[in-house]
Amino acid sequence: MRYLKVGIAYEGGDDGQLIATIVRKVTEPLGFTFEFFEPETPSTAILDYISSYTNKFVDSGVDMGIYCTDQDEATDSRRLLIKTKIERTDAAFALKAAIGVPVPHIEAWLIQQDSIVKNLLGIDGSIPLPHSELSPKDRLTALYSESDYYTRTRNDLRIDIAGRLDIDFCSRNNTEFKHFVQDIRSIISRL
Amino acid sequence: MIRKLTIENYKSIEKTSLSFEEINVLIGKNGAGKTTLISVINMLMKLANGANINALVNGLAPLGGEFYNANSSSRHAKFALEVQTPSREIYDYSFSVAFGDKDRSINELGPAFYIENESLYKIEPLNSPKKMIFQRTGDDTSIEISSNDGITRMPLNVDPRVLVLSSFAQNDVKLVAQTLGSYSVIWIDTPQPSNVFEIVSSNAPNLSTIDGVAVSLYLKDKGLFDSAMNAIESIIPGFTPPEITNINDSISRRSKDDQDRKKATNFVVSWSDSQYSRSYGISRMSLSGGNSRVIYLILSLYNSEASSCFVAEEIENGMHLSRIAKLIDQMRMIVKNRKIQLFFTTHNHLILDDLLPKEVIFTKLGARGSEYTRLTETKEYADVESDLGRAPSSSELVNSGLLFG
Repeated sequence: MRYLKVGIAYEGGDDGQLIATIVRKVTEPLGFTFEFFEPETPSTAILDYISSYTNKFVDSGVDMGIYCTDQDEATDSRRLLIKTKIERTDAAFALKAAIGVPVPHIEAWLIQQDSIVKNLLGIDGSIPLPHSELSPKDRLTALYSESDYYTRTRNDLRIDIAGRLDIDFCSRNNTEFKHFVQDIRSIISRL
Repeated sequence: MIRKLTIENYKSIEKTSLSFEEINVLIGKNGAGKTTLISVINMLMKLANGANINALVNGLAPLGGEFYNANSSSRHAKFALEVQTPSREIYDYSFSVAFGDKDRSINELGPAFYIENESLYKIEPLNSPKKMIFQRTGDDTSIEISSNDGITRMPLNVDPRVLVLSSFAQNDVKLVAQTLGSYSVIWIDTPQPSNVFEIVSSNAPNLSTIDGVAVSLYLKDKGLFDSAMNAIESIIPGFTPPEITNINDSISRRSKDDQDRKKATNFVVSWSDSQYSRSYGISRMSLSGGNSRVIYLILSLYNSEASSCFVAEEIENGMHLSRIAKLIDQMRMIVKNRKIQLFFTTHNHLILDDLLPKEVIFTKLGARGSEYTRLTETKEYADVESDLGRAPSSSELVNSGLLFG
């Protein structure tokens, strides 16, 4: 297994380990794992800091820069916006950048495979996953809160789900996830 | 667990009635009435433990009249709640707090504030009529009690300033009193008194200090103590559990007094901090303010009784933004696993990212005093839901600014 140095810029909170788990799920079958370099995050959308993160990644000599932010309800393509800002800052580094913009947020990637969520939370596999009326993030929180079966934290649950995702299945079902995975695989193929 | 609470004519509240979830977070501007609601739970806990209402009012409203709503001339505040015991039985409990007037014999009743109209009913399953356990009407000096022989009347042998609930030895009454009395109310801004070094007695650890609550939990349940340490470590990188040392032997050796030797076991707590060398301990006074708050909050949560209720004010004060999500994550896990009902107030919109709309109570001061509305029940929630075409999150709704218009 070869080691990469991976920089991750994300929206703050608890998403760092979660994103690292997804990235590892993509890189490890290709023979690469990584220690990740995580800059101080502003605990807000990273869009205004793309140039700063890019410079920091370049200065730190990372092999791959991950940029993750939620699309939320924005109508403009945040993926395109981030890509443009990276290219403007350092065109060469744009080839080492993987951009993930989940719609509306990262939990949308985690609840694609109902069976994983049901299995971890001890939900009857024969019933539809409850709380479909809620946003993916709130849905996962509500399911977590109602589960007596899963006793670790909600963030542990998110990481556990990420560790079990079928990357190819999720890529087929979610366009933004597919773009993110393609970015990572392209970078790996150039190494 | 408090399932429902109705409050009438208390401080900024003219009248309100609301139901509660497992997690309840009060948001709103300064002066909206967040702390007022919290103070009711604090008062319930103390009264259920036998506190005297007149003494208690001195802490809540020392000028007396401020205990009641400013828009009302009535001197009767009413509190009614639906409470669920750890064994999942449900009771309706209510009482009023009255203020002595010129027609009343102050000498007989004692000074000023007293309890009246207290009652306890058990909610029976399957829509059966609720069963009266006891009832005290007005300031009557007797109470009605339900028994197998029907309803009987007996003299009220308690101080009118104390709840019958706290003093009547009947199983249902004791169960409800124990449920309400087990609640923990934490004023997170003031976790420590000024003395620097503390020797914690196992007999009565001071739960308002980090050292006291650490020793209390350590003695109560080593497994829970270890879980608390793990939770703190996940929020504070590099945190090392404290050393808790029994110093009784050394005190006994030095003391010539027999009484000293018979005293309870005494402990000192030695903390560590990444900025100090790990080779020696530090007192709690050398912990950073932010670290102290995290440690105190998590220890207090684990030290609370399972199936009880935990109340804290503005948990995020002095805390770095990067820690807030981790703190909420840990708190959510603890209250879920230990079946603790959680109430806290906040001014921090980042916290909302991790809360469901049904867990957030929007508080505002209207023409009729403090109003409390769960986010899912606000008119604005429906409007934003219509705009988005889906259920809004707490932060989407609050950050829209519509609630504050």
